[in-house]
Amino acid sequence: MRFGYRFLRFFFRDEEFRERVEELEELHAERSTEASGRRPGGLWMTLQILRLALSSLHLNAYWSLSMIRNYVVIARRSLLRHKVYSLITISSLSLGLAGFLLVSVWAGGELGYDRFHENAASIYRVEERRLFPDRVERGVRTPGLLAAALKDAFPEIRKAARVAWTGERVIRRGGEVRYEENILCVDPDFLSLFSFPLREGNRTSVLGNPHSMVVSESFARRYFDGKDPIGETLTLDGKLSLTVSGVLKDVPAHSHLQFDALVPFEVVKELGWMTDSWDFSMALTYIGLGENADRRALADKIVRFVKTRDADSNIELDLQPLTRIWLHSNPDNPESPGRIRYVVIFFMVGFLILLIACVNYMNLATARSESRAREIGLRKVVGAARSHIVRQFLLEAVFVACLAFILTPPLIAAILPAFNKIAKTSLLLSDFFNARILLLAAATVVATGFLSGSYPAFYLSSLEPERILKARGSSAPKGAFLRKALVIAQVATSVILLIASAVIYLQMDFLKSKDLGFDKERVLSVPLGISNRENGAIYRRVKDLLAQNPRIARVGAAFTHPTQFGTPTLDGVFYESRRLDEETPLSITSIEAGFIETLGIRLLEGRMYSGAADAERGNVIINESFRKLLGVESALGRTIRIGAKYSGTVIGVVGDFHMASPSAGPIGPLLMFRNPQVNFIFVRPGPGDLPSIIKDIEKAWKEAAPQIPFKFSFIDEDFNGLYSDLETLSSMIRIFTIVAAFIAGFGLFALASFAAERRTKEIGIRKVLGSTAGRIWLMLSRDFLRIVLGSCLIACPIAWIFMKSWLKDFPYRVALSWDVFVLAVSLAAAAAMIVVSVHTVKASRANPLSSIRNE
Amino acid sequence: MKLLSRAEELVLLAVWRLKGNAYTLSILKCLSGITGYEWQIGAVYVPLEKLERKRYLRKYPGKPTAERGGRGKSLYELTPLGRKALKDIREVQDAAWADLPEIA
Repeated sequence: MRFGYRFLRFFFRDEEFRERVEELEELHAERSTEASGRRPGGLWMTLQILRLALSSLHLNAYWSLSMIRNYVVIARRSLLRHKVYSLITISSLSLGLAGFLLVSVWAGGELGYDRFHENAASIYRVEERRLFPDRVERGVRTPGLLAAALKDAFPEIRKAARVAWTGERVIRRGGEVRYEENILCVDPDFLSLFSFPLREGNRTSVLGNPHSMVVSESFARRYFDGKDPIGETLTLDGKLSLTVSGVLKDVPAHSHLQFDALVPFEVVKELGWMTDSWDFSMALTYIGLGENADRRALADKIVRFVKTRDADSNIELDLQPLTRIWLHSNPDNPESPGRIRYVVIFFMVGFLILLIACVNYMNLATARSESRAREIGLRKVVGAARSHIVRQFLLEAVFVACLAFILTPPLIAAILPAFNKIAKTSLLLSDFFNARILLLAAATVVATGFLSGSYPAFYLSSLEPERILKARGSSAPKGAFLRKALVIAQVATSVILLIASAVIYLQMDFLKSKDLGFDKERVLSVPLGISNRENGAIYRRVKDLLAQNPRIARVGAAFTHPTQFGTPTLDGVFYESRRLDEETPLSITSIEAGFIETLGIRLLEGRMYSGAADAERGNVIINESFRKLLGVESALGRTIRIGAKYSGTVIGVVGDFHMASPSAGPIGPLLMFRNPQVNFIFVRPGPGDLPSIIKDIEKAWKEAAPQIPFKFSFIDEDFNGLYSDLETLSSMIRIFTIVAAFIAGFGLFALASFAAERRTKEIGIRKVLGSTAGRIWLMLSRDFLRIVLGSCLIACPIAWIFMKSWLKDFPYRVALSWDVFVLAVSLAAAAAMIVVSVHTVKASRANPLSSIRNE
Repeated sequence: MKLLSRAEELVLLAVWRLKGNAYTLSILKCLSGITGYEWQIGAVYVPLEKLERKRYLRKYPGKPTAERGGRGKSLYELTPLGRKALKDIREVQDAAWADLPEIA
């Protein structure tokens, strides 16, 4: 029974407890002596004890509920009395909540990438490391022979599928011709390995036929317009006819593999890629492990797998879990941490903004303590314990947070379109109404309430009743230090964000306006789409037609687009006795005559291509880096061998120009040979009205290549498109900066109003004694200016460290100069002064009579 | 008047009936007698305390007894407010039942 009593101890205060136990014992004794003979046993006692505990809970809940009602009534009244303060706290809290919830939902989506696949946990991508004597190159693509060989060699690998992008292709159906860029070539295992929802067709056999094709619903809508697509035929690149054998639902947004259609992997061969080499890494290889497979053991076994097949190979293999691909692998730069970094940063920023909003509440609640002091004093006098006051103010804060939450959905709805555009997501407001998010929202609201209520609660409850009630409210401004510290933290956060967004913007601008080594303005790129023998002929027809047009300055062509010039070499590249491609990564591509002139690339020595293609088969043009690699003064006439069959003589050296995003790294050595086989035509119009010139080009195109749709882009825009991730980052940071600045501004505004209010009488006396409005304004503003400058003092070094480390990843970066910081600081100070001035000006110009008489 | 819960009504009545000897256990027994089934001690405390906090009942210490180690039991009595409430209840009941035949 001891235990039972000890249990009851939790429910009753000393006096009560003693009484309850005594009465219980008495009852027990009475029952035992009753003549009925049924002596109540332990079970009876347990029941009684439980019932007693229940009664205590019941009473507690009953009384605290009626008290809560009182707290809410009081909270409502004090909110209504100070409408401006309430509006400010509530709107900053709703902004904070909206930002935080938005970021949480977004981050949740990012973290949930690729998890919709049934066997997501057992799917891996096989990635490669190429070992060179002095460096390691990581890559996500692997040789075409790998998938099947792995599946044969290791029983624990149940499924293996290769995936290769076809790139931009022309699809024809009847007379209709369209470009499609999201077609994947996949092995039959693809659909049973992944769980992309298949609407029609059999998962295991739908891609069995080498001429079959599986399309997405939106792809089907594009071509078949509501008709049943099964059995319909499409032509790929004008030479390969494919029959639709299955329909997929559109690929979920949270999948790192995005595609509109699937075709059998054999199609890749028709496009001229080498699938049966151990040296050419061309496809992504995904494997699915069996249930009890040991991933670690397998990873150890496959490291040197390629070497067992091909002794010359320098490839080692690695397993990347499917669920980590989106966040942790970065195909452009395998050494960088990937998207996870941004997810973490934005989550932290969202959280910080919520904290800033909480600070507003804390500051305003404590700054207004005088107006509440009498209430607290009275409560204490009539018997409220400190814990009651604490509870009251915590509840009040939760109540305010709940009010703020009511405004959150409309706020999110307002931000969402812009956010979706920036973050390239397709979130809907309805995505927020699921159990997980609502639970998160509820927890956030309560936590926000507790956090923002904590300081006011403990501060206000510490006020002493006699002092408050006697001293008629003008108690010393206690807690001013902490309040200042909080404001400083707030402003500092905004300034850090401001500097960050400025630096990111500058870096982006720097990359975009970087000299790429050629004249990127006003150059059109027109894709030919079909990589077959016709292309050369089409190009020549187009070129001849455009040559007659005086408004066109130059026309050239190349095998690849300049944003993707950096195609690594397959075969060895030799110069004298050296093997160059082992010394450093090299790029090789082919161009047609006119390319260098059209893009405006500088010629350093020798000549460009001219004359007949056949005569120049053995002539190569290299860039400056290549010449440096050769280590010669003049490269003209040097012989470079590629593989076993080809050897070329250098006829020209051009200046270095960028062949990919400048953020990917410095310009590497490049070798170009002449090839009439081209995929992109480049046109540089002369001066004149661009739209009408483009019409001319289109007309020429229609005449020369009626079977290919005319499509064009500007090269400078293509290059700028490479920074879309950076653009996203920049815009998102900018939004958060604005939100943070708004919240901090609200806070300053309210504090200024409070300071002006509190010093009304002082200002009146000062003015009576001869102070001017200007001096009063200065006196009031000085405090705030000091706060802002103090925050900047903290913010600048932190921002400097952050941005320094962020910029480190860019091979070409802006210098982190002091003017950004000066600009940010002056902007913050100016904004703060403007916000504060609303009150300081009013206070300094007020008629002293009214404030003094007001006694 | 504020309506009381049934349990509160009965407790109020029991205190009135017990006149000066109303403490938890006697109230418990009285209630069991009136209703005809056993009340659990925990069930008495809830209405008792609510009535006390609503000022219908007043708690006062009884004479010290040896069995309680020199302290007295806590006794309850009606306050004027409680007395009025009881009267009101009676009136409401009577009014409600007036002119009705006995239920068979």
